[in-house]
Amino acid sequence: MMATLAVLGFDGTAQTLLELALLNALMAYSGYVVVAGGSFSLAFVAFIGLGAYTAAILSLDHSIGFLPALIIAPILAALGALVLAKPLERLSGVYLALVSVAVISVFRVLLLNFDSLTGGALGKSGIRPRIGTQELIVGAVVVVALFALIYRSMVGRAMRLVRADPLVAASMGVNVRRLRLWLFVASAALGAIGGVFRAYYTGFVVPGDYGFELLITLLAMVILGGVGHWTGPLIGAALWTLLPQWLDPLGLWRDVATGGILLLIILLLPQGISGGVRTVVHKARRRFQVRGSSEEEHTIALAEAAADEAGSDMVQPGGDLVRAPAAGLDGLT
Amino acid sequence: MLLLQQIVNGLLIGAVYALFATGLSLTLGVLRIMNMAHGVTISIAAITGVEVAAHFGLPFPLLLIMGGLVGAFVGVVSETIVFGPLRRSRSHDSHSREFSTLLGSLALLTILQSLAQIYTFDYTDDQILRFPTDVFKSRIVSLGGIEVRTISLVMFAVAVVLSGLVWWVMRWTQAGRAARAVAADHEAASMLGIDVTRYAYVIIGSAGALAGVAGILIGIAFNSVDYLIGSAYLLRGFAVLILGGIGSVPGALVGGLTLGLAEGLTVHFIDSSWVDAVAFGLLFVVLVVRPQGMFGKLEVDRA
Repeated sequence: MMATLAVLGFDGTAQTLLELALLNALMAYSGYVVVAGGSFSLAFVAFIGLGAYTAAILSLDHSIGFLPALIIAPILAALGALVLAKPLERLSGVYLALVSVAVISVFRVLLLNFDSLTGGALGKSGIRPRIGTQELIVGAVVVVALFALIYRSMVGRAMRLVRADPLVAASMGVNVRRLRLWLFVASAALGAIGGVFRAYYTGFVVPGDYGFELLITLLAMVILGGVGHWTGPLIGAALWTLLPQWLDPLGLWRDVATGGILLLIILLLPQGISGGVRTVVHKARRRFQVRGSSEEEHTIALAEAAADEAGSDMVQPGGDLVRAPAAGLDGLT
Repeated sequence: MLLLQQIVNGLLIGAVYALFATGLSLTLGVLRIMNMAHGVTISIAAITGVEVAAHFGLPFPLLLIMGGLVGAFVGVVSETIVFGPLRRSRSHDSHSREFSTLLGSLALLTILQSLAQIYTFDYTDDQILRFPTDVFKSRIVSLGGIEVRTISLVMFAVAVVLSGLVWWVMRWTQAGRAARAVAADHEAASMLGIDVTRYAYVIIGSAGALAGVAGILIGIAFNSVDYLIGSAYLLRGFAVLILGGIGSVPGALVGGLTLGLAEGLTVHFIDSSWVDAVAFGLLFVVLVVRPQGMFGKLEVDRA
């Protein structure tokens, strides 16, 4: 019961908040993978649900525990993503977003209708033994460390370039289609892991937990933190988890305030908090001519700062819109 | 006969899907806005409709017009505080602008839906509002053995007439031509002297108005209004959009009727709990087989 209350945000102890923030961060990285690759594929929420339900079914019906579930669930999700990717790979932009909406909805209908397997509308409860702070910390550290490594790697750079401009990325030799396919699969696997953690943390699964509310929450975290840097989802998840606590006195108006804050972030801080901080740092560096630890790192940092600004349509005096995507190229070479 | 009844029921409700989807299609086709908050317009118009009908006893036709005005107002507010600023924002490139617009509409959805919830929460015990029964005295008429409620027939007629009107405006008037130019290319249109901002207001306002009218019709037909009433229509609206092709008004009408029909057949042959899955299964198949929809032109998207 305490955990249920905690998940709903009623228990304000620091430890619970830490646990929730870690759990949210784990799930948010699944969304970050696709968004950071410039894709509109929002079906990762369904894969989080798939992971959670896999964990629940394995635990309750087959007595298979947490660690095996952490291996089985992402494999299932990755296979599912591979199957789904075939029809989806031709789509982009809003079409992809629309299909994602469809995937999330169909997933919910499946959960509701195969009740012998999923428990229907009531879901499944009594997943034991529950995990606590330690497991969540280990999980989050592993995932964040992974992203920190990827960020500096070839793949990380390719991701940022594809998001800034897919055409330029393709001309630089990045196989955009294949990169997005693997990001989609990775996002699904990662989402399933997040789902396993959630199932074992709360001890239950219900269909309503893996729908649009979760999608909005996780996207808000990713955007708040900023998609341009690996710390983004962590920052976003921490702040977005604390936010309801701070807004608690507002009562019913809390959700209105939440939406308003999200709107302000989108309008005023489109690169998120990590992007905003980086812009400030890079500007300061350039002004004071402070060099990075090595010449190469400095070049990359400058190129990335340029890439952040590169996509923006620069309005020329004549009123023509000129795109300047090529500025990010130095980061790859 | 039961099958025929389900087919007719499906087609009648399909007209409302079409009405709602037409607005969704206009905003997406012309302005490239995937408006997740469009469904809430139905809820807000329906809730306002119940209040106005209860307090001022507005007759049915005026109620429809009022619903349209409320919907248009919601649209104009959305454009003013969310979509307009995002379209003009210089810190977004075209890709991140599309994404931010989607997120902005999600934020708008959260705000508007919570406001509607707060309003209905304060007002009634079960959070369900109902139109006074004398707003529209619906009867059941028998057409060759098939029973149809008169409200359903009115709903169908209003939807077809409004869709036809939108189609006519878009196809044959100067304003429609300008809107189509905006759809093809915002920058080129503005270079030709088309005031994109003004057309954005007109398009979003009209889309809101269509949803508002749909809200009143749905509210009266099912006589149960709550703050979530629009969300089911939002998802169906997207399905219709894909079925018919984005930006196509006749496509929205045919898509809406097709979806209604598919749902009717699902209820008859399978079970009503599978209705959603069939709608989205249909969507999925169309996207894979013919991504541009039944009436859409193939659009080559960058990368």
